[in-house]
Amino acid sequence: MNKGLMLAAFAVLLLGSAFAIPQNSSATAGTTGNYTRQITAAGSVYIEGGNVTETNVSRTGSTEKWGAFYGNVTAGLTLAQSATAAPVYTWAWNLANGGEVCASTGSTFVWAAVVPTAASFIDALWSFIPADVDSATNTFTDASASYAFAGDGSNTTTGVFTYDDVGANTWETFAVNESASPASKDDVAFCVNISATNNRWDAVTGGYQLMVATNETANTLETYYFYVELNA
Amino acid sequence: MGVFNNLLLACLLMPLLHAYVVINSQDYMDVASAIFYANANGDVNYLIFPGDDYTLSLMQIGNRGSILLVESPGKPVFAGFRGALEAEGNRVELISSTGTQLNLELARKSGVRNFIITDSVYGHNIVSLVAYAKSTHAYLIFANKSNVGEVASFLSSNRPDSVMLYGILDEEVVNAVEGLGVGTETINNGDKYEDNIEIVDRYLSSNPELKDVLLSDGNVLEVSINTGDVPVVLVSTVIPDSTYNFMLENARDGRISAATLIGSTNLDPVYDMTKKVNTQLVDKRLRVLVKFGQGATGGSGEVQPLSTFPLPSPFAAVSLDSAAYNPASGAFELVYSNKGNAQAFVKSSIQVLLNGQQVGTIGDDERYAIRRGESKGVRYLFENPGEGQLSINDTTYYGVSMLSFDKAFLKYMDVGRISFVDQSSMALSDASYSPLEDKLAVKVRNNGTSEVFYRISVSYINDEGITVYDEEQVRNISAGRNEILSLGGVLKLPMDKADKTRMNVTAAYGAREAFLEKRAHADVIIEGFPWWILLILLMILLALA
Repeated sequence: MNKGLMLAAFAVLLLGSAFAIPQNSSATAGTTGNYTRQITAAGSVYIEGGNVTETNVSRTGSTEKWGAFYGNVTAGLTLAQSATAAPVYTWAWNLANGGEVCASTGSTFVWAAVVPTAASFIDALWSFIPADVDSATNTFTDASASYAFAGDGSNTTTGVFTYDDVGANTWETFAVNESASPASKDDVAFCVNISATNNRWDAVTGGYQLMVATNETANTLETYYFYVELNA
Repeated sequence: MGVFNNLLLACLLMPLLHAYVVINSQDYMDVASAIFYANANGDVNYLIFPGDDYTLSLMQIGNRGSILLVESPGKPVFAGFRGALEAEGNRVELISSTGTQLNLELARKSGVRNFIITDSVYGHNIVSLVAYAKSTHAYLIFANKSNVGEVASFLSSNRPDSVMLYGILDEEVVNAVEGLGVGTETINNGDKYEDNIEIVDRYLSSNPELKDVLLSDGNVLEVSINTGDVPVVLVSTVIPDSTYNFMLENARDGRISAATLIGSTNLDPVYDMTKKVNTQLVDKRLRVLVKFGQGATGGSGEVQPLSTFPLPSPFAAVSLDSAAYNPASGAFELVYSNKGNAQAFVKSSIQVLLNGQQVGTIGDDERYAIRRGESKGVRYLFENPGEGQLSINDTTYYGVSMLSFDKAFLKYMDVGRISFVDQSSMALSDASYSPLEDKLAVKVRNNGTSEVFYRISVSYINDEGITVYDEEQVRNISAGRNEILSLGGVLKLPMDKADKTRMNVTAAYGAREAFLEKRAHADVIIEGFPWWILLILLMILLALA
């Protein structure tokens, strides 16, 4: 056997978390949880969730139409004999390389022909009343949010900025469809560009922070699947 | 009245119509059977993954009206789930069965006429086939030599429109299915990646509007695989050239624009492949995303790992059991065995040492197969090695792929000199075959003075060509003994071909189980249709009239 076989290993760290978005500062935080979860460990490739703050917010003063996720993305391309061996050399994938993190209720989101969407589609699919102050129509108010998946040129779609730690519009969540006429929630993805320099709401620099629509009916939940495109 | 009849029929059929199939089993065959059943019928499948939360699963399923619950009687994920589903307002039909029995039960229930046959040991075949089967309304049947009779019987009675043999299968299965006289096609390149590429290529050709593929190592099921909406390209820690070329060519031709890697395992080779592919492309880029987690809003909100269901992996476990030099045959005789769960492909290179000094090298020009559980003797000619202590240094490569090895062993062994002449002798006679009963009988006689090992094969030729049945089992018969051997349900010669068919039976035999090098033959008399029975029946009817 060739003992000198060297493996290229690529490591990604995604620290993912979620919280409901308070609409105003009077919302009271509930419990705070902290966990470190090893999502998978295969070779030197791993993705793990990290310090999650779960905020339970009373009905008053909060929206149940939206949820949010945030986390870190780090990666590295290493030359090593095995997953556990010390690397001979490492090429760091860094946040400046860019990419997107997306969340969709679609378990099999089709990425080949991503197209822009409109806030009205989101309202219709999630049965939000467009006139509500927190409807998609009144939330995704930027009609020219830019995005660029590999293979596409720059495009624009509907988007909304979420705040950094000082309340400045920083992270733009943009929504896309997997087809020109989405028929279900599964056809919609909420995405954000990975950033190396933006501060998140929790004052951590870099990573991602995005907002997703949720089912506002009581005692229901919605499963989101998370995707990341790392610019290669 | 007509309206009433239609309503009555609709009421009768109502309990049989399902749009939602819930799978509650920790057995991968149950899970796969139910997924293929649901997909072939256009139903939605909901798999309860090991470790899933009971309450969360109930919330996600909710009230679907009518549900088919496929549940393992001994190993469900949740106990008492039927009652919980009914409490949600669902009408539940329960199928409580498991394994190959459930596999055929759902095949019957599905009513489909297209089938794909594979060996359940190769779990990655399940992943490769989900999307293709869904797009062709085909159902997956698990078959190996132990259940080939039931499978052949099912296919024979259901007269399928098409049957595909996918991947490495026991010869008994191939022979039995090909002998059914239904149109069969085969995808078996002896390598899971080659087979996978061929099936994905077929899928993309017949679904040109879809430009997406999933990437997976084929070791687990995940919800995006289970839906069967997008085909899966198999990847691994080292992506084969053929897979890389397939992705490159299809990206270049615009047949694949995006790929989603399921889970982060193999992220490194996929990232590397993506970079290489995109370097080769001039005016387009392959888009690759990694599906890395899942989370439920309204719950804790944590990003969780993807829910997965493990599938079995085939493995070969080859060892060198014995080696001797036989002056009578002027050859080294080595016996290898495969104790794995899958067929092994083997190739050896052996240094021959005399008193510790190398005097030659023997080995295989081509790789050969050893079936699971089989011992195989291999003879390497080597004239006059000289006097002294003989030994060998055996380097053997092997694996479950015909194209690449993933295992090897090195074994040093002193070799004795055993002069052995196989003086075994056996004969076959009085062979007859009844197409009506699909039963062959043949008399086996051991004419020698020692025990004989033998393996039976039967072949017949007619206007459909030649059909061969090779029995995997090695039988034995003691010295001086006669036995009547009976084979039933495997030859599948149609009655109307009986008078135009020539059949013979062959025994490969020898005094050692691993060296079945002698042959005994017998022509088989094929019985015609017993017209006299019809005549008697006719006479009885006439008498009664």
